Amino acid sequence: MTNELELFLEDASEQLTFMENALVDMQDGGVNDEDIGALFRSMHTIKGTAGMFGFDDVVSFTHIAENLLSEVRSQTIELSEDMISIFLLVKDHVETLIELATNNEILTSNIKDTNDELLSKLKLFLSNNEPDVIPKNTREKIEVTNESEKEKLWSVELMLHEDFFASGMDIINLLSFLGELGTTQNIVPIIDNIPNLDEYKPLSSYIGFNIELLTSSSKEDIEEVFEFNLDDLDLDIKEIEVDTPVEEKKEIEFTEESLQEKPILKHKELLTEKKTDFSLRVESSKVDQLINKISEMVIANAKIAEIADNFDNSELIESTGIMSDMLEDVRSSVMNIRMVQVGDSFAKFRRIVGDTAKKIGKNINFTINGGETELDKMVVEKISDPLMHMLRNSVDHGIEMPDIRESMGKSRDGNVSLSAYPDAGTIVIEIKDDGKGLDKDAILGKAIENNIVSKEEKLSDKEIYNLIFAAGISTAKEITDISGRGVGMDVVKRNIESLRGTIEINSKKGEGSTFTIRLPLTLAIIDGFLVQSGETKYIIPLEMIQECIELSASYKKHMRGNQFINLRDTILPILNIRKYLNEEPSKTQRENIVVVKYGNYSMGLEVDELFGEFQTVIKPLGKVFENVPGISGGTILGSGEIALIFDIPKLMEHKIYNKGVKCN
Amino acid sequence: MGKLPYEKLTIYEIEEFYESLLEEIKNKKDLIELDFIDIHKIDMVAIQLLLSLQQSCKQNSIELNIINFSSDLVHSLELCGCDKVLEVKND
Repeated sequence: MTNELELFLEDASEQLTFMENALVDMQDGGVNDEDIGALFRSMHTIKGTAGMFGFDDVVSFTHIAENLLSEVRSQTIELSEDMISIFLLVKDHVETLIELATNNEILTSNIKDTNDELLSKLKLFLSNNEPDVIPKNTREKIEVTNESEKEKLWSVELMLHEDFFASGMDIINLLSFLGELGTTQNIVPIIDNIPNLDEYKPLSSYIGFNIELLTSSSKEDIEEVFEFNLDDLDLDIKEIEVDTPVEEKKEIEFTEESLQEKPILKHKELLTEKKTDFSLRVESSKVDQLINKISEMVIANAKIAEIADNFDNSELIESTGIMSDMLEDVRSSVMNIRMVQVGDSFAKFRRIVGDTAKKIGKNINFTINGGETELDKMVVEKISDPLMHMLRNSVDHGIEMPDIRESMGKSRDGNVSLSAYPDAGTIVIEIKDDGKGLDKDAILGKAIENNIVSKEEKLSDKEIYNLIFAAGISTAKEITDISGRGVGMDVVKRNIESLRGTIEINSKKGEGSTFTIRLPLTLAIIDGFLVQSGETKYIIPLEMIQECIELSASYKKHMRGNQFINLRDTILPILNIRKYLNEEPSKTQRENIVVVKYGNYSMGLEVDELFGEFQTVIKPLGKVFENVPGISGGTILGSGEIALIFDIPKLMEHKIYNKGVKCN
Repeated sequence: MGKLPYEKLTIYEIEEFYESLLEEIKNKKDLIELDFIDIHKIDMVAIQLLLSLQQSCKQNSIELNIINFSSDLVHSLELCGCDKVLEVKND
């Protein structure tokens, strides 16, 4: 696939997402100018760029959709609920058309049927707007549309620049679109500049056109046809004065000023809107490369800092300090490039929830909170599928049918919410529903049936809920085509864990369920805290550390060999790292407890020495160490030594489940 | 020259097509016949080249016959007004 085509695909999928978001927005919050503008621009841009690649099916289809949207934008046609539903289908269909076109496939008869059906529906809306149909607004408006429909004769002169053909656009397509704005009265090619064959360069353009176009469209509309090629041609559009009776002409002039003002303003608004939306498209690999380089610099800087410390030269130490601060600034700026607001990606779930609910006859109020929360783009992309799966589950299995809800004293409409918020260096994503909640007995029964737990085991509520992540468990009595096959939740958990995240379930029978996903902010560099246990150095993610305390003799005395201490009257479970990882006995006398917190759990890690903060570049440990529980990666210290990074959630899991000790 | 060995005549085929036309002109034939029977699509790049060919033929007193130009192709000419300046036949 060529670069241009890849760019086109990327851009088209972005435009289609804008389109979908705008439509869903309007479905929920009513029609508004901004979303209509976004809708129009998506179709317009796709049509324009598809034309450059000669994707005729895409162009001819989007052209009709664009025409209708143009009418909607100029308020001659009202955007109805039906129309929004059809435009959602249009979006899906354009996606299919683009896929076929890029794969060089022809339309199958099924797709062709959809194509024709959608086109006829779109055209129906267009034809409903014949003059005898009264537009939605007041009388004043009717006059407006009547006036603006007054046709004018335009002279359009265009001369292609020598390298026009290199733009990839076929001028015939553009001329054909131009003709669709009205009636082409006359078109004369300007061929004086075409040289003889021996001086001819086959890829250069020498031709131009003089066109007389009768249309009710404005000069801006005509200009828009050539919008994507304004750099590749000279365009001159003039109105041709036609002799009209004096009185009638006066009337036109009178209304022209007051009427044309609005559309022109709108056009300008549109332009400024585009400008504020300006963003730079950079290949993600370039950003990754930058992050990698910065990571290496962080490591190199750590080494310099260590040497500076050894030299005991205050100037050198100060300079390295400044260098470290600046490096930290650069690092956080670079990491920021990858951060995107989760809201954009969440918006598509509204449609999924809406469609799923509609399919099974439920009414759902779906709310999204905290869409402005920022998260690494890669994490956002990877979390998208698990979230979609869980949302479908909530709608399909969580929320009851309206009649049942009513009989239980709940509102007929179910509530599902998707929220995101930052919490202690992690991002929390929560899916909450007020449905029937998880059925503990059914889950446990199924797990015993599948030999995942034995009958004798006594499990807490949370442990039972966690069983739904085991492969092959589905308690759904009926398998629907949406969910219930028991594949999925195990995959969901695996996906989340591969992002170094965790998932937790809370549920109350009859009241609903909450799924809480915790994800790390970034994947590449963390602020760490360097400790030593036995012979090995370890990094603990700084944001999870609450405090460090010395394991004094008095604590030890109270412990009496137990694995917890009394910390200000609460019981703090302790994990002895040396024992857990079979380290050599420590040479130091002093032992320390690092208190870490993750979600609602706290735990103490018993280690030997504490070294302090350390900027940690996460390096994968390779396949051999992939499954060491509690270690998520390694890093290189300034001295060249290797330190292992603790995976705190995994350590906690080990502590909770393997030792039977609850931490709270 | 006879039947053109293409299914479409667009920017992708144009350089090869141009070279073959140059050969024809150099050979100073009295008649150049281009048979478009298999061609179902042309773009502006091709139309412009045909215009240049027509002009060169006139100057060199070579007769140019563009034949089997389908109605779809003629429609492309009409869209850009070139049906008025390029002589084609559709038998």
